[in-house]
Amino acid sequence: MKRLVMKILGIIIMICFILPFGALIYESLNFDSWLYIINDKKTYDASITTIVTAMLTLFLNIMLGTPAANILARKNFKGKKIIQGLIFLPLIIPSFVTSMGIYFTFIRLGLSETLIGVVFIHTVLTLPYYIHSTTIGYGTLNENYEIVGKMLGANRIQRFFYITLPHIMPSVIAGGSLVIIVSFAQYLNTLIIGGGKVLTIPILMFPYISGGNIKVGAVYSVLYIFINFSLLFILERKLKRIYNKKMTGDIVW
Amino acid sequence: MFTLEYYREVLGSESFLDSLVFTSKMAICSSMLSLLVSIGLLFFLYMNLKSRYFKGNYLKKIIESPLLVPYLVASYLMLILLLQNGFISRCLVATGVIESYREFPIITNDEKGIGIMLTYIWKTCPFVVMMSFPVLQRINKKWDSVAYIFGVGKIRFFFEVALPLMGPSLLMSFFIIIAYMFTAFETPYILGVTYPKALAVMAYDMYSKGSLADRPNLMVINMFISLFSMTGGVLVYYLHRFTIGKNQRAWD
Repeated sequence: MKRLVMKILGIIIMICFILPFGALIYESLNFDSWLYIINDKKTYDASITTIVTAMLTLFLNIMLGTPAANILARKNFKGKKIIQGLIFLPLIIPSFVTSMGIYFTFIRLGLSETLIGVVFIHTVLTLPYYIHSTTIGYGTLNENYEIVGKMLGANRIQRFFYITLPHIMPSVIAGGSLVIIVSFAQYLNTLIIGGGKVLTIPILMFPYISGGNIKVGAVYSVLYIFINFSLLFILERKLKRIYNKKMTGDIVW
Repeated sequence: MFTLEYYREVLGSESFLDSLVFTSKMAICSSMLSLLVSIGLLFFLYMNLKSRYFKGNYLKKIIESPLLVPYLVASYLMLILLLQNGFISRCLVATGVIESYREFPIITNDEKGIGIMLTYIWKTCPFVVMMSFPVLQRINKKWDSVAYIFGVGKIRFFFEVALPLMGPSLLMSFFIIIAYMFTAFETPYILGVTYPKALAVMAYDMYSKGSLADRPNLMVINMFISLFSMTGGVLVYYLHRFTIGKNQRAWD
């Protein structure tokens, strides 16, 4: 009896959480809206812009965040606490506040209303996640591995690509997934810096969502969730393959 | 030139104070409710962990599914679900519970902000559960048995042993979500009313529609928004340090 009650309760809980998705699927089952979106050239442009922005953001994160994580995980120096605090500041201060503040500077630098400007803003917002994740990765890598490599005559680049990178790859990918999720979810910052000229999917679908054609908004949401999931799915597959191959070697805790 | 004139101007304006009250009301109410619902969910998950009503991991996966969509999409999902001619009301009409969709209460873009609160709860509960569930999993099996020997049931064990252990992580996620709700833009923009606006919506409207003369006032509002979320951030930081120190003593 108690089992039955708990089961019914559980099913009600699950329905409550899944119902909004059900509503989305119901609203998006509309042939005309799909036709409208497939025929709209903007859809393709926006999808490509969104993916390119996320990828460039990821690239900048890897270039800037990996060395930073290396130093933060291994070295102790004066003012380390301050640097850490500064890196995590974008998580604490709401991002649109900084975007509004920096807009004037971006105009002067010619970065406003350009894709590069948007990528810069996304990078600032995503760096805390990436650095945090990669720092954990570096924390599990014993420095002696690299010293052994050095002794055997590997140069800096070889050491990085053959010893360090394979070891920290899982945390790089985990951080990278977060970067993509956060970059995908940006609406307001893209709008402020991009000025409506840089058309990502959130920007494209927002007018439909807030009071426009609701059915078209549903189709855009489905498309958006689909692209988001497929990118994450690819990354996760990659991560699993690395774990299965045991490329990570013995982890020295 | 340094001046505090604009601070006085903003603090004296009625629309700002109304927004502040509205935003605080939304943030405090929804985060409290979200915390309560999460504790209920965690209790259910704990019972499930012990008695296995649902095999496999899908119960937790489904509860955590809202984490996968951003607030923009989440607000939209709630909008199409709760509109007066939305999904629920159409289902009710189809099953004959209500005769026409006009009988369905208006809970999106309403004065009281019910739609906003429901969205926040739907979106933040999974987060709170995700933050605190590992603690439930880590609770020593032996403690369970000890409690059982002393005649403590599962329900009392949850509320008197597990809940205090989850306290720090629950409190931490509470501050994270309340700080977020003070600065949230998408949800109140989509589901809110034109007056009073949430602080972030007000700032954005001043930015996009206002003139350059409004900028100082806008920046003052932004300062207040930053202040709220920084307070939340600092609290989370110290709580985190406190928990790490305490955890090492408690779990060893």
